[in-house]
Amino acid sequence: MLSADFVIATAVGYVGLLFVLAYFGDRRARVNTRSFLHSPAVYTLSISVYCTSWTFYGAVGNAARSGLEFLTIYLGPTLVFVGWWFLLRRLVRISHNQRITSVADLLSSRFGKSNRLAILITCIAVIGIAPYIALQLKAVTSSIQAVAGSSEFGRGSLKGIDDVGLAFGVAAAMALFTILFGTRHVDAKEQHHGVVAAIAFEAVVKLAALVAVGVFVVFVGGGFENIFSKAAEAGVTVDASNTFDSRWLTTLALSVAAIVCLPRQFQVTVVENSDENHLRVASWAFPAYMLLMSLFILPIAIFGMTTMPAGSNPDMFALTLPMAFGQDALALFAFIGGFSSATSMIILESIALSIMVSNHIIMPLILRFSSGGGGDGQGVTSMVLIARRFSIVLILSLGFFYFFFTRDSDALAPIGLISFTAIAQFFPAVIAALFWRDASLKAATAAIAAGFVFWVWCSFLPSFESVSPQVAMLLERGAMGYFLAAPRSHVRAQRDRSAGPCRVLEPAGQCGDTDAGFAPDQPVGPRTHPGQRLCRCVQAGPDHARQFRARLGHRQ
Amino acid sequence: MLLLTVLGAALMLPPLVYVFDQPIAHFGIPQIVVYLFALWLLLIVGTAVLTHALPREEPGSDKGEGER
Repeated sequence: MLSADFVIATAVGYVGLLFVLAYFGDRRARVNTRSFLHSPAVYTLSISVYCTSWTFYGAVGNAARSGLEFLTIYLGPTLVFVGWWFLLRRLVRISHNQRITSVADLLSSRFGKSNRLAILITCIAVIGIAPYIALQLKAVTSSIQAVAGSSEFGRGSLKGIDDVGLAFGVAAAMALFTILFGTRHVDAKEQHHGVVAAIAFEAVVKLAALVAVGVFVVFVGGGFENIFSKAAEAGVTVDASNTFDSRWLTTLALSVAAIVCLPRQFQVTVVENSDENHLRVASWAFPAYMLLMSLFILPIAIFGMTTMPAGSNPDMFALTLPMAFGQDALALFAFIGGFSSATSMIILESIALSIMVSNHIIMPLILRFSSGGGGDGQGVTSMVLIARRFSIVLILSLGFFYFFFTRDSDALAPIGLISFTAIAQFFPAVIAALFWRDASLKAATAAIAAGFVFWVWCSFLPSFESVSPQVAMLLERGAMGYFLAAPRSHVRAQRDRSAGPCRVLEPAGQCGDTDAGFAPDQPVGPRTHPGQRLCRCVQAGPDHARQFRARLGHRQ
Repeated sequence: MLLLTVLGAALMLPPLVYVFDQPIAHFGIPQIVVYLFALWLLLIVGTAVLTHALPREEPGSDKGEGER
């Protein structure tokens, strides 16, 4: 049996290994610009930082809860990379020519060097990414808890430490490692070869781990066919009749926006790109990576739902399934895979965000208020580094606080969608910056600001609803009855129209209540626990099935 | 390449995706799952082939900005 202490020690050892890799990767990339580290393979692998613990744990849970919907998160980026010639090539070329270092930098310089726009974008990105970082913290925390909970050695040194304490420990350790990794020196191009090398290594680890679990599940389950037929006997079927609705379209669109605009994706795809021709390989290799990654997600989810006891958390199937079959080595590998997908995301995301914060907010402030002429090159460099370290701590604490306030919600994937929605506000502006010469600064600023306000109101605040009665009351009434109606009423309107449960952008797990008659569509709120699988994937009661079929027939 | 992107998007969105959303199973796997993964694979292979056929860029040249 695995013990919690052993698993934590392995995780620390793994991060140490990463650090060594980053250190030597950095040295090697400096000495030899034609080394392996500048190859398209490493570039492609680093892009796959897109697959975070949302993919590793969350996608399995999402597949168990809402069927095929998890695929949209990977099909969207596939479309972007298939069409790389139009969008990504242009993006990379323009950014290289203008020495762009972030999304904020891109938009501000394309719209007349406006620092205000850059500050706006940076603030939105920092706030918008907080849920995403919280997701990683939650995934790491619950994976450690899953190991500790099943261990016969008890909780070891975790005794008396709850989720929050554990998450705080993880966040603090991550902040420390990111500072050690990412802020050792300042590069004019903002490239971090060592970090990219470590990220590429992590990409291999997480793919190998998920595929190993997948192969194991298929082996134990007796082949794909057997898994699906056994599941059908147990009443678990892939019922896609309700999958391809507005939600399918929306999540697909969000993921298209996210692969371009997420700060860490922009960092690896555009800023860390050293040769435009690397995109040629990435254009097919990155979709292929995601295909491999998601190939086994459905079997794992379905097999888990068939064999695991009711009430077990589907988000953790990739970890708990091997443990349930007594495969400790595999479970440890799965844990490391999930851990590595979380660390790569946290490290890169906070580096990318800290570049934005220090370049667009802190440094302009310092330069404005410092008595001119006093700073030499050395002083500025160390000031930039301090600003970056400060921003990293800030970003991770925001993520931790988000986790702290919303720790009662169960599912992983909905939290990620909140961040995707925030980041998607930049997408129209990015497209305009690339293809539309006449786009104006005012329009871009107004569009992004308005999008942000709506995001806070419809997506961000509702996620606190279950923990804060004040927020719940505010949302119930609407903002003092003014022009913004209560977000719930948007939800209601939507619900009435489709005669189904809420299906707006807001994550399903946090919408509060649903109409009792339609519960099979989505798991809802803190009142339903993850074991109550009320989703498209599960065969619903005969009534619901009939309703779905009736609705489907109507549509066709 | 534009054609491939648009075709891929159209094939994974309603209404075209409904065509393949039938409760039939191939090799024991529901048809819709097979369909989506096959489409995905097709897009990957298509991109690899097309990208190979596209002219390689000389670094720094702005040629080929408007062409497919």
